[in-house]
Amino acid sequence: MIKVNGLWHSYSKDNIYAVKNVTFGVEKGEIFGFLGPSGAGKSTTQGILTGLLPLQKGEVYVGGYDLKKPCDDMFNIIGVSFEQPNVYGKLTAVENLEFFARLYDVPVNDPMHLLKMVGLENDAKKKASEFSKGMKQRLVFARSMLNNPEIWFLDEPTAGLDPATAGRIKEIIRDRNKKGTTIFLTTHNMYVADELCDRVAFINDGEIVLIDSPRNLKLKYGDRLVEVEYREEGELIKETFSITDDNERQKLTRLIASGNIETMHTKEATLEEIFIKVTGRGLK
Amino acid sequence: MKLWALVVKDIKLSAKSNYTYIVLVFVIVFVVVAVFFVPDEFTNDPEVFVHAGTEGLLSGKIEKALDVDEVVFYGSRDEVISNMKKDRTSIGVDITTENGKMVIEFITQGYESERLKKILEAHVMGWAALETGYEPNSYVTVLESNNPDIPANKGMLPVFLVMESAFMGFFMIAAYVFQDKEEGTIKAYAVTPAKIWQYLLSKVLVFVLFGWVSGLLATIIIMGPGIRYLQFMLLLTSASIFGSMLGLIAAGLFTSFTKAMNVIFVVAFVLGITVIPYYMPSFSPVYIRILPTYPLLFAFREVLFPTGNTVLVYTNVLGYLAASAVLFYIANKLFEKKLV
Repeated sequence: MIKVNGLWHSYSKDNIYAVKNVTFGVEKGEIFGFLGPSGAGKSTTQGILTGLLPLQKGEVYVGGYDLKKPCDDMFNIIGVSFEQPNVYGKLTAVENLEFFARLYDVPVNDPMHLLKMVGLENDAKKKASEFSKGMKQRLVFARSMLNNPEIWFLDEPTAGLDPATAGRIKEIIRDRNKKGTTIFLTTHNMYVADELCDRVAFINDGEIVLIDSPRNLKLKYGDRLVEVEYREEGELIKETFSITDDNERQKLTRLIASGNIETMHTKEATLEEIFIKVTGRGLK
Repeated sequence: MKLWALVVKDIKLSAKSNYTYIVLVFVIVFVVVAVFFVPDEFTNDPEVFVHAGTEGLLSGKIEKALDVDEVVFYGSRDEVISNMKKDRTSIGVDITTENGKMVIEFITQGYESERLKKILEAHVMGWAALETGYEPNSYVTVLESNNPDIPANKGMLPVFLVMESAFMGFFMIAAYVFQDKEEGTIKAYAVTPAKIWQYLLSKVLVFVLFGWVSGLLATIIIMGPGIRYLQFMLLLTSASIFGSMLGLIAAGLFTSFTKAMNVIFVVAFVLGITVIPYYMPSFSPVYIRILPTYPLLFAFREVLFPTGNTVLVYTNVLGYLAASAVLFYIANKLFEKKLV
């Protein structure tokens, strides 16, 4: 659904590139995570894919549309949820959605239904300027579903949301993905990416440094450790065992047999730890 | 359909902002000032206090000769002087006869301009020449004998129509686009299948509508029903479109109102400077006459106070529409290049 080949972009149109030779593809029905710290090139790449920035160098196809020859029809099949809560503050929530709904050439979802999905049905007639940042974020998210997009670009969709609301949003994302929507998720939140994405790409300084599934990355870059808390002569002891080392594995087996273990967790690496390992910098 | 949705949205946004009310208040203030506070005619003519030895016979002729608003006759020169001291804007004339010859003395306050003194002298001497049997050797030829006598308060209306109704879009459209840029709503629009020209045109249409409202309100109240409203609407519409197009260009060239502010104020000042030759026709250098608001002021005056020069009106209408088409093309290209 998305094909990017040798993408370069320079804001100053010189040799200072925000995106350098980026190449990747996203299959139909896939949730593809684009992970990187601020300024890494995530937004620039998404800007080009959504037609907000001009394609300077490279090949980009979105839903079969060649971005070298921009075509308005492409916008009927894509949806974009921005991180910035860019809504008309003077219009109500439902007026915001009704206005954007009239701009599409394809059947659209009922604005009230979408507001209900994101938990804003009781605030439908309230001016968006009276909304909290999280409510505006949900309105932007709802707006991006108006045209039932085949390709859905989500930029930090859970940023600024409380855990319950974030859970609801993630549920909607999973649900639409199950129905066949391809999702391009831009985030610096490793937990969201880990939870939702089939594959993730790590971008750093404008370059993609890794692309794989979260599981494969963890297996490849993580230490296979188990963290155990157990009691010995009344004292609580916390210890980490490598399951690739024979001696430590036998010690762990003995501990399990003793029945003194209180907690036990596998300690695979997080995506953030892998990112740091690969790039030498954090995701924040 | 999309254009209509945009127009409805822009009208809603305007109605929910203070802008609509500011426009209405401005119209009301202008109308009230024009109708109740500005007189039909401004005059700088001073009162003239006269002592004439043969008052009964000459007073009517003197009054006619002086051609000023008010001539007051007194019985003696001293009376003229004492009254002049009470009214420091007045001028005195003492007419006596000496050895059968007419002697005319001008009594001034001391700070009158040479121009005023000469005019007064010419008037009185012209009359005196007639009285003494000499034909004056100067004549006045009027070039535009059918020029209407425009009351001062109604004469302000073309200025209001150009600066407020027609060029309102210039300031406001830029402000509205910059607001869309700041709020990021322009980005949300950019990822829909709607066209850039629809976005731009909807803003223009809204400000043409506001131009109609403010222009019609003021004109109907001040001028009544007796003007050529078809010509009026054509002129107002074409000029409003042109003003809005200038605003779009400004909004397309800059990313924020702060960055565009200097240019917008300079352009507004330059466009507004044409009011000077409108009121002082003797000052109308070429660099002012080529400004777009210059012919527009006179075209509005022609519509409101016709002299039969309809070519001026239609030339303006066609000129503004043609210029608007070019500006719209440029604006479209500017926004296509960089919408957000």
